[in-house]
Amino acid sequence: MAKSYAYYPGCTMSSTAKEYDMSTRAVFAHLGLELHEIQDWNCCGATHSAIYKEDARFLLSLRNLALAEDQGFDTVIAPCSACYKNLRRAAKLSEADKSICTRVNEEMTEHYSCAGHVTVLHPLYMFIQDFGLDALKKRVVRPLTGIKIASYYGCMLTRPLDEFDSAERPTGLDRLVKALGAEPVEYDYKAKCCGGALALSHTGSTVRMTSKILASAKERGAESVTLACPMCHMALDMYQSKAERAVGQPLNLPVLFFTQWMGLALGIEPEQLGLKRHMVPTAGMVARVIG
Amino acid sequence: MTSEMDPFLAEVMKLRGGKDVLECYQCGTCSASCPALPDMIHGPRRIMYMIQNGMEQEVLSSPDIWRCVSCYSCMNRCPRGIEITVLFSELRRLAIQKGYVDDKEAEFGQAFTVTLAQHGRQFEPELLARYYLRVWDVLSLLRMVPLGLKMLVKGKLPFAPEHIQEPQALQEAGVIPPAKDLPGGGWIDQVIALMITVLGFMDALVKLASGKKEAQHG
Amino acid sequence: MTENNDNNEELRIGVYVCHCGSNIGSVVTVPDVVEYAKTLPNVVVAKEHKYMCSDPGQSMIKKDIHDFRLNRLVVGACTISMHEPTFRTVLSDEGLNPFFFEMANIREHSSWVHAHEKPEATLKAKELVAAAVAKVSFSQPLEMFEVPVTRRALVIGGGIAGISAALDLADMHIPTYLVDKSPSIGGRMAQLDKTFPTMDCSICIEAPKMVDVGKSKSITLMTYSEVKEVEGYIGNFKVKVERKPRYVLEDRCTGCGLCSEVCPISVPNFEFEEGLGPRKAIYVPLVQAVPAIFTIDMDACIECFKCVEACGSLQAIDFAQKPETVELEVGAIIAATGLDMWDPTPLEEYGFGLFDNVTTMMEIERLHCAGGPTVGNFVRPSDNQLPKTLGLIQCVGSRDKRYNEYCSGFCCMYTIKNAMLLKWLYPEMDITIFRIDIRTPGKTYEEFYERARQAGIHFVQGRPAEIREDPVTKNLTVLTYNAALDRQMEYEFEMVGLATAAIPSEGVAELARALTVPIDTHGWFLESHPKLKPIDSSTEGVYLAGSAQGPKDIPQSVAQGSAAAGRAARVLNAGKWQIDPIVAYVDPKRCLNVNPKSKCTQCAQACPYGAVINLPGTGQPSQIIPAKCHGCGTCVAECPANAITQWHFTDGQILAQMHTLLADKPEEKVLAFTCRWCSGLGADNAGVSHFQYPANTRNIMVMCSGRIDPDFVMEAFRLGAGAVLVSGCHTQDCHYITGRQKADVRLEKIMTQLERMGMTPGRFRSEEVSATEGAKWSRIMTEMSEVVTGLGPEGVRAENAKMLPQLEKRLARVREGLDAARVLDIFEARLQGIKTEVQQAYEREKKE
Repeated sequence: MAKSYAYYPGCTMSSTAKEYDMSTRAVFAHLGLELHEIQDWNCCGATHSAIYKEDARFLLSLRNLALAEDQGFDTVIAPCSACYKNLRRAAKLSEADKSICTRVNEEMTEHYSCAGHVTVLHPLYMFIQDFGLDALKKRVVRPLTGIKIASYYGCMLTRPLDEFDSAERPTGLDRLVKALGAEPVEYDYKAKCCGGALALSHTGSTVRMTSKILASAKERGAESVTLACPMCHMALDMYQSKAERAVGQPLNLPVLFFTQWMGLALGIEPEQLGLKRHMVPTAGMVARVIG
Repeated sequence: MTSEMDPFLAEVMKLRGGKDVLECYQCGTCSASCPALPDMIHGPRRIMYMIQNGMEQEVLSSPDIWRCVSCYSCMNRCPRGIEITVLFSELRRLAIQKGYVDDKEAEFGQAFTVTLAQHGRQFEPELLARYYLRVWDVLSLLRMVPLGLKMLVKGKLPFAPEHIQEPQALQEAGVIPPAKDLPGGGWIDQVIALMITVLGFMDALVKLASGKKEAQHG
Repeated sequence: MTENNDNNEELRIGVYVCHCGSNIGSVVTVPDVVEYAKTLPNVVVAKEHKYMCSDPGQSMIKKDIHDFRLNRLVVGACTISMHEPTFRTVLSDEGLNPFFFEMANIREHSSWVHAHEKPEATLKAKELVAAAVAKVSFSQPLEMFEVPVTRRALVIGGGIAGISAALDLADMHIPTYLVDKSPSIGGRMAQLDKTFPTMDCSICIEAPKMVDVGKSKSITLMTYSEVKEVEGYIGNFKVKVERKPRYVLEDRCTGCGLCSEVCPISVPNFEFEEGLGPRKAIYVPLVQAVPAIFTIDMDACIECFKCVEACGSLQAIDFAQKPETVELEVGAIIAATGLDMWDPTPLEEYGFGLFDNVTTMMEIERLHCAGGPTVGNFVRPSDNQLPKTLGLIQCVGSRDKRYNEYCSGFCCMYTIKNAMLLKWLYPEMDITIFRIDIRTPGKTYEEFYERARQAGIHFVQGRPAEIREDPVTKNLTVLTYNAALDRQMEYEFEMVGLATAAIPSEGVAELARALTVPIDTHGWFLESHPKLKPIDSSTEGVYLAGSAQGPKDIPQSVAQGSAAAGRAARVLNAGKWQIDPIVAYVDPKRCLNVNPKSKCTQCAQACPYGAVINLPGTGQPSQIIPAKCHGCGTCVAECPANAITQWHFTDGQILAQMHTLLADKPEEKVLAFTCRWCSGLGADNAGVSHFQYPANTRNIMVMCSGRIDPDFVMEAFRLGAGAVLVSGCHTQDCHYITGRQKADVRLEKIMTQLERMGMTPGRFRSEEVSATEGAKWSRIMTEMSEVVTGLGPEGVRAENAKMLPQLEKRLARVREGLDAARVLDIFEARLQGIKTEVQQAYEREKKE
């Protein structure tokens, strides 16, 4: 197949979410898809980009798209939902309003055409739309049979409403999880905010929101949670002990990136998937899959 | 329009997400959807009303705009199509420009952006240092230590920053104001520089150690 | 100095300039305009008056017509929308043809918008008066057309509005066809349990009317039928109706129902019961169906023929029945197509379609109706139990830019009514209504709301953000921000009802096209004038009634039904009807199709009214059917041979106005063509709102921007114009349906050609201005004026000079129009005289 994608890792991939990076690269390689890291990519600015200047919001994203365009790519894979949202929105708005494009190009050394040549795609939706869940199912060698997985979408993946999934009741991750052989768990908080944006400045808020999500999933019988964003992972995994204290009960919900589940199901060695880097131990889940 | 519009309202209407604020008919869908409402004083519904009525001080000095978690729930459901999330984000900049700010998230956002502008990418140790040196929230810092240590052990905290080729281009593009206009710039930068040197040293040591280990194991 | 016109009759023009109190007089120096008018060709008298439209003003004109033997009249005053009829009547009262009148708008287009440029405003007034004089010099005496009227009416839609209209028409002994696409008439009202605020049983008050319709000797009921094609014009419509096969013979079925009893197939009754109850494959949608004739749903029928057996000797069932097309001839049509209820599935946060116990208000209506699927036992879907708690949510899909921006108007009352009914039936039920506002605009509606509160129904101000379901109990949690308590709240209910938006009936868009009646942005039929003509459509002879024109309640629908019957009756009882003579006319000698080898169809393609008899390849020239022609002039502009003219807006007349307005200092001017409707009214609106813009602008009005021949634009630049604007309605609002669209295509081509000739962008613009966009009008005028002053007269002259060779080439074409050559010759002859006079006049003005 050898389809070639530009890869925009985002700042967490080399540090707090290194396991997401590892598992994503491993899965792509295993499926014969090429990922080429965009050279000289910069931080997308998360939710803070425009704190001093409005157009910085666009500049930080469009610079990356300009680099991708320049380096000959038509699709950028952005695994972090926040980066994905930022890059994708910037692309759309600058294509619709050429004055943004003109202004930002004036400030940048790089030049972005704003002509829609570069599409920004989250790896989840790449697998669902381009690769296809049926094709994925065929490659599963270790089905995740009997594992009850609660899919957690967070906010940036599906809102504001885009073309891939419902913003209110999304199903993409659930369908992927099902294709891998697991049992998706329905719960009310699957698309509610974890509060990760305020994780350092207002930890209490994050813990409150995160604990509701985990408690809701637990109540509906989830054994594990899967997600697609490093910030959400930080909140649900690293803060899970704080969440436990907030709800007053143990949670024991290992939180895996969907690419890690994919890796396990596709037969990739666990060492390549960074499964030891989590706060909530994943060994139990790994054992369930591998035996 | 020939009547005089309140200057704050006029200013907000020029912000991205602000052009439709007058259409808000106070249905309350936004405040109902907001997961951060318990942390806010007003909530997006009342903030819209106050903007419509030129209440600049109440709006820009509120913690509300800093407690927004950018979940887009309000904006996705607003029947008037008002881009509430985007507007809240823009109000942050206005609040800083006009000197209203008194929230830790404001300090975090600025620490984040300043760090990003130094390297072109994030560098968590510097981000944390800049943040805690601004807020002097020793209690929070201490509470984070257990987690921080765990993260260190799991290799989730880098020792050396990654760079883009020309980070100064970002500053020239105005992503952050010039260093002289940033609060507390001088001495914080010096502390950071020292920290980076120390971390770099430690990083080198770690690499050397693991290199020796590899050599030993062949 | 007078000239003779076509009939060798001496032209004697009277010019009257109005002060309009101080509206005109305070800016425009009226006496100077009068003096100037005296110098114009063929003007024998020019006077002023403070209020020309008043009785003394009109009397003055009438006296002058007599004393000075005037045969043409020009009034410089306000907008034609106000007083064109007034002064036309003055002429006809004096035995003169009313089309010998022209009006120069020196109020909305001068004094009101150039208040700070008095000398320039006065000059503009002079030139606009001169242009009116020029146009009227070439006017033809036009007579209104008379067409016979077929004294029969067609009502499309058998809901309460259609029923009301049909019954009124029947009372006037006007034979009426009532066509409905359902097997029975009754519409939405038949589905209701009780009606607000009287709490009458809905079907009980409607059924007698339905029966009256069925019994009436004047009404021919055609149910299970749809209007497919409409041809013709007011008084003379030919309508093709498709009668869908019921497989039951209407003249034999007695409605006994034995067939239905034996039919083995049951399917959900979506037609009437919102799918909550069953019906058989052979069915009537409701027990009180009119006509009481059964219909077979072939998608469900298994052709076991048990029904045929049960029908026995009546032999009313015919499986061989085929669709039948019937052609009706009627004089007037009433569109009463009603409304559908919006499906709230897209509003995902409320979970309709996912959660069993989230229902629509219409479903709730059927559930508590004694004639409904549960014989009035109100139960919730998941477990057929009576819910103890009920939540009702307003504005679901209404007032929501994501779905339907408008307010559906009756839902507040509708929901309160349902709540009241349930409270009467089940006093212990806890009912809460969630709302943004409560709208009770009708008589005793507010008192009804008071009673609801008194009955203990809770009201929460707060539009719910989300509904969640308990997977075990199937109860619902509604999350709302309660404004009064100022906090987020979670309300638990056993059942939730959604007050969904009203949307236009399915199939209305196709019907609108068949009727050549525009629909608005939301799909409701567009009325001719929202304030003063809410029942007329823009197509003469087609009237609107009920929710077809916009969502409304029962009394409004009944009122509109009667109103539409009245509007239709004035035509149908008149025997004959007058048609405006501002129509197109094909010169049979110039039409290309005179040559049998030519297969030109341009005029027919240009016409949205089917007013052209176009027979390509037969050697017969095209012909316009005057009664069908609405006078847009699009075919005139589209004709490749310049063979078509439009009376009262001939090429010659338009050229005469252009030559007059561009005679003096054309390079400093912006020449604007406006249509009679949206953009003309928009320009007037700028005046009414006193939006100021520069006075170096001049207007020429045509009926539709579709009339604007590219040659006019080129000719304007050849004459040296600084800038030219063609403005019309927004494409979807075009008064003549497709005129604007056709103009756009033509004007795009000119834009490209002019750019290639090196013209500065902004000197030619094609714009869409609606009747309320006065601000937009003044902005466009200002921008174009700035382009002209920016280039300066030298700059403009230089560009025009460069374009001149190509523009001169077009002059031969320009002369081809019916009276164009004659007009241009006259103007060439006058050139010396007029220019000097105008110039002198202007110099004098400036010195003062």
